[in-house]
Amino acid sequence: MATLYLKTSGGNWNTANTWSNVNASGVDNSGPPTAADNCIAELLSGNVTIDSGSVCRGFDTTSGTSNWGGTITWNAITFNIGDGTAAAGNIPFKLNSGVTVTLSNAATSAVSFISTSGTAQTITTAGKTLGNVTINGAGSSYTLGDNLTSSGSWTYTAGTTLDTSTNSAIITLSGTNRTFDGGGKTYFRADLTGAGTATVSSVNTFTTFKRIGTATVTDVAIFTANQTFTSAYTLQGNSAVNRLLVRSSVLGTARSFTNSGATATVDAVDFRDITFNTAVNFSAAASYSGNCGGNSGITFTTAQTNYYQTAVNDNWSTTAKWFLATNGAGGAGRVPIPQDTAVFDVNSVTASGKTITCDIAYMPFSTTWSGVANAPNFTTSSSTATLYGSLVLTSGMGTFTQNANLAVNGRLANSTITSGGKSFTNMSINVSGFTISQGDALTVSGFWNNSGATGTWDTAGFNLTVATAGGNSANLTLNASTLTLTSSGTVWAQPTGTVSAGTSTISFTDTSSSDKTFVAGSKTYYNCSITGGGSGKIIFTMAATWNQFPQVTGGTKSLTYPSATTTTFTNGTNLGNSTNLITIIASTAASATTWAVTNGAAGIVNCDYLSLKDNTASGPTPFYAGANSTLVSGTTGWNATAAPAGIPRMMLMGVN
Amino acid sequence: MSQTVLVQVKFEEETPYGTYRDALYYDLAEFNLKSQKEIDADAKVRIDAYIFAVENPLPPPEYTKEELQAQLDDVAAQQIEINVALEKKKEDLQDAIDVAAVAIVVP
Repeated sequence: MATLYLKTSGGNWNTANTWSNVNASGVDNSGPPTAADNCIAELLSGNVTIDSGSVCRGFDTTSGTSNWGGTITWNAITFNIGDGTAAAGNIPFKLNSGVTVTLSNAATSAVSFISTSGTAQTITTAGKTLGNVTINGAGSSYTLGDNLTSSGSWTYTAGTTLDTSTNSAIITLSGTNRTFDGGGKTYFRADLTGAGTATVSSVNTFTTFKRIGTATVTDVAIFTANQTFTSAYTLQGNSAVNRLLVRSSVLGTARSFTNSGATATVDAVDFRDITFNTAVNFSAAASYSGNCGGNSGITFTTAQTNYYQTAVNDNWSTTAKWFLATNGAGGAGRVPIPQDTAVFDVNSVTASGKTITCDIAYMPFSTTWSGVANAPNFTTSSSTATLYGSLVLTSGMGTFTQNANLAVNGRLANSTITSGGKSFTNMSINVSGFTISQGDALTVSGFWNNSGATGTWDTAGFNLTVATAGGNSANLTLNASTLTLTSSGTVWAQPTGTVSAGTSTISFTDTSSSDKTFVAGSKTYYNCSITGGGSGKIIFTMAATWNQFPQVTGGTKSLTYPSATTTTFTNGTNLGNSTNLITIIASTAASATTWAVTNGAAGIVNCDYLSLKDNTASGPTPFYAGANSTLVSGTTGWNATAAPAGIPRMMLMGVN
Repeated sequence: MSQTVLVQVKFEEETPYGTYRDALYYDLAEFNLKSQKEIDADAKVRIDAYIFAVENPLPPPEYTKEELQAQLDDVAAQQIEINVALEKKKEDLQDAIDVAAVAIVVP
């Protein structure tokens, strides 16, 4: 252990000749500091750069000959402070008002306090802004000597005691998209003032908590755990338009606020999956309180219907365009909050071909364009827009341009999407606890249904056409719909959730050379239609039950079924004759897939023009591959001949 | 608040890519002025759009880093769910095997 002085010449922290063991004027080269060294910057010390490998037991800018007034240039690295012994004077880090701190990166120019000493040590930052600050010393005891401001995140990973109350220390996170992970400690006060998403982690207690939004429409406060506010809490958006969304980190899983006796300052805020243990009434908030679903213990601003009217290209967020009745009547409305209804009707757009841009973060409980005149265009903003209910587009509109993912999160009631013949790009659905139904046929490029076990997407019998769909975890009700998968790659994945197949048809239409993978998820489907042609295979993974064999139309096709797995075809169907070859293999060579037919009353299995490999036939009736088929290898239970004439049959073959 | 009465016209059509089922919505007054020919024409626009969408599919979606991370998290959660279900199935099968082993009498 040594006491090292930052020399007059300064330099990089982790360099020998930056340090003297005498004083700032020393000529010895006693650095670089180890985790057991106390480092002092004093009046005559030069500037220092926190560089890779920088460590010390303590760094004090006040205990030398006089306060240091130099500059810390903080590279984008983590400065580790502490070892198993308390720093000299129990001061692990102390700046003074004369110090300049220059961060290379607002977040990753970071400091970690990692002492494992149980002695109380005091951190003083003198109002300087640091990057990420982490407390990660098992058994440590730290006290904040003054307010701490970080342009990064605060993380309390390990330690025994954290005292922010003795000195009424406020921790302020001013950066964009920062995390306050309090480690379950009690804090005097935390202010989260940055733009974007401020995340609060761990079950913490705050005497005072503030999340104040900025002049953007996308500010969020996310809580990954329950919190307690004992004296006061402020949740405040910037304006009625630039609102703050306060929500749980998991849609459908509420976070609770224990708020008994705490004074609330809440305005321009929307809540999602938040429970106030002591009921609160935010209905009189001047810039309104919004209900995005999943909340309890909150009285919100009363919902209202707002009618839009414009004669020019305009934004959704223009307050003056909203009225309480159609055609600009009824008095001033408001930019709809989540529980509201937004109406674009025959009187809404009074000139031809105008564009309305949804430039806020959401569309409310109900948005309808029914009866709109003059073919207005509707454009969504470039950041993800959340749909909190039903959306009705119409064929009377001009274009619909979706510039970012549409998060369908309507959870105030069951809701409907009517496309009016407009196509959507990306759509992620989480309507946990509710059902969202199609009002008509829907075409969407990317479809991701993550509504969990209690959410349902219901096609209502209409077509659903998607390029690809991701790992759908929610329930799917298909009725008699055709689900058309138009692209390649993993075109559909339904590993969990349920499928109510009805009499639907899954249709693969891509004829490119790229494979199409269908993750069946051991679900029961009904019919399957495949457009023939193209060298790209249709790859079925996981077990599945189908009503009948796939119908391949118009060309040759290769199909892959999962090895060591049974695909069940309940019934059969008659198809026409052709010479298009259908190649059927198992996913792993020499490891057969099993095709099982369960309904013997449907007749024998009669196929033709197949190339079969690694396929086990199973069922109460004979399987005939057909006279023009080839049993390549690994087939069991197949007859390599045509079926005898005059016997009821189920057929699989290429057709034109 | 004024109420808009809409008339829903469901239609379906056989296409080279399967049965197409869709619906048109008209304001009641608008519907009363529509001839069947006009409605059929409106339906044909939708059918043609579907065929065009199949033959000229939308490009695969492009997701942001955050959206991809969310999807990764979803898949990881589902993987856990599936594993739990399979473990339970294994336990049930093992229990059944254990019972069967006791019950079977080897001649």
